Amino acid sequence: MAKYIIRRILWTIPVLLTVILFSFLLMKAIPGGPFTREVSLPQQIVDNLNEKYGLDDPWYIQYARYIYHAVQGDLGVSMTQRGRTVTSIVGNAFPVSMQLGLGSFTLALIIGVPLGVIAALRHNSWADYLAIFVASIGWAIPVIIIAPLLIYFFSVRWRWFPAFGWGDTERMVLPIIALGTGFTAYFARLTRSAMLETLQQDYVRTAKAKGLPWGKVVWRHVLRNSLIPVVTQAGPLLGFLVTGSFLTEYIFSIPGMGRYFVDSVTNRDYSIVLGLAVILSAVIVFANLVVDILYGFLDPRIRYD
Amino acid sequence: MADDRGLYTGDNPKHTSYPEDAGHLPEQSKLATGAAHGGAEAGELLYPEQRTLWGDVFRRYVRNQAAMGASAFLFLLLAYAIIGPYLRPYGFADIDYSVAHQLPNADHWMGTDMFGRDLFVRMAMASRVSLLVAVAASGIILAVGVIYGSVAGFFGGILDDGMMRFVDILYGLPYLPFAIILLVILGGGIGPMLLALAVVSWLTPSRLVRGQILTLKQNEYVEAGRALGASRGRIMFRHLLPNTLGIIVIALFLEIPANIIGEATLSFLGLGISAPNASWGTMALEGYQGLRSHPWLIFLPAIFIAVTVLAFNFVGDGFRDAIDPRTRETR
Repeated sequence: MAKYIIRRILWTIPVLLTVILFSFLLMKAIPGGPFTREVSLPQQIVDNLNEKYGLDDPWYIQYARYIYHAVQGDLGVSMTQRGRTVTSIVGNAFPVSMQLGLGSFTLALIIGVPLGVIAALRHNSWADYLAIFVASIGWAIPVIIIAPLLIYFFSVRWRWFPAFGWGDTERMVLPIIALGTGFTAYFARLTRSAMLETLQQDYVRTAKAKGLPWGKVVWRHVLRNSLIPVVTQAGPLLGFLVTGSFLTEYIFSIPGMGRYFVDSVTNRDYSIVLGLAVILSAVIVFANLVVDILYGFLDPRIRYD
Repeated sequence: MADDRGLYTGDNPKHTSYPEDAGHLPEQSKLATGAAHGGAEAGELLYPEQRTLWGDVFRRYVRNQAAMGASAFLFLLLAYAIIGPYLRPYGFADIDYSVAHQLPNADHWMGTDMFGRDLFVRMAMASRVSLLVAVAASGIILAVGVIYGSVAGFFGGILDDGMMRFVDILYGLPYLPFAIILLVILGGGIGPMLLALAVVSWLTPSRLVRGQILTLKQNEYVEAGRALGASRGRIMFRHLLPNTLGIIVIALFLEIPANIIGEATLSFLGLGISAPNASWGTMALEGYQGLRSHPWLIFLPAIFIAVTVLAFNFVGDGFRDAIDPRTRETR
């Protein structure tokens, strides 16, 4: 197990290096340099700027230099916002995205999992059908639809919550619901199907047959074993929640990583785009790592070679 | 030789006639067909009809009401997307400010937008684009995934290791940021949109197909085929790939709604399809921009996207249950 964990951790290094390389090369392929303006700068100034930022060197030198600095926590400086480092921008934006992602994740867990459990325990009853129906709809509505609808009803029409910004609790409500709904539905479906599968296992029948109270059977035998697939799905989802909040941040004007990313792509701010892509990849790789390790602890049947 | 035959005939009286019949082929074939007919008739008593795998799948699918309802809706939607623009005397990009911001009425069945464009026609064109993009992207994703996964799973060894390590690495790519960067590099339009949707999404189907091929390879019939001298190609295309068709079809129907949402998302960000062309994403973007004063503009694409995604999910679930009825109990 320890050997597996170490190997798994070491494996993230080539993954991250390759992912950064891809982002790096893609960024080089974007037409128009960072100093392309509507009013073109004198050639001399462009040359000086290119030299200052090392943009004249071959790509592998630039890549090596980037990695060298990135390891030390230096992701370069913003090319459009003078005097701001990418690290400071990411440092401001990451906690915001994190709050949004974790908020939605918590919402999905505390509503989705119990919903799935109830649906499975009342299999083929009206409660089950209602839960599947709600979950199917929740899963089918993307953020670009649910977010404007939430804004329309809760901010424009009824004026319950503000529609823009971040920070106060009341500003967080709508974005968290917008991002969390799909995942709540997903968790509900996942939990339900895992529960139904576990309920048919022999050990559940045995537990029932030996006279264990039903609540105890559900809690100790069914629920625990059902949560394994939920956890394995939840990990990548956690990474996705932190990174996949682009639209939510875009629509609700939240100063998170997604918002900065979209803005920086439009402004051709290479270094911010690259820095954010690197951080996002790192989050995903890390989330996958945690899940793989957690999986081993949760399910002792899994053997690692 | 004679001894052998003698032994054989002794064992099984039926075979005694075999060498003599060889000279009377026509009669023998008549006899054979007669026997075959007799066999079929006898069989009919036991099995009411000939059953095939896909016949069974179809029969089970038709019994699923949710899936059938969803299929009917999707056919209607397809018909609307194809003939919708010809039903009304408006162009999808015709601007007429005198009729801007109308709710559905007799002249404009789905109302008009801020430029007075007829939404019935515009929605039909948007449906064309969105459905086309989603289906084409799903096709590309599955084609790449199936080829990649089956090659890795079939040949195994170092090749498999290398190919799957590559997939593992790409799993570290965040999907949306890369799609966005790609669209910025390539500019908007349908082709770049397909590439952006497909670039990371083929990973999951390739893992799925590889896993399936690895399992199938263990089956006795593959070993039997190999023992009989079947070529690798024959084993691959006759024995392995047809058996993965089930999961491929299921994956296709799960991939399409994901790509509908993907296209809508990227167009909503102003990257993919752009004005005056329409897709569900651009319609949602326009609706979002006019949200405060004219909510109908967001309700319309919202209904289309949500119901279509729901319908594809139902069809996909229906297929899965029909192909593998065991899943029905648990899902």
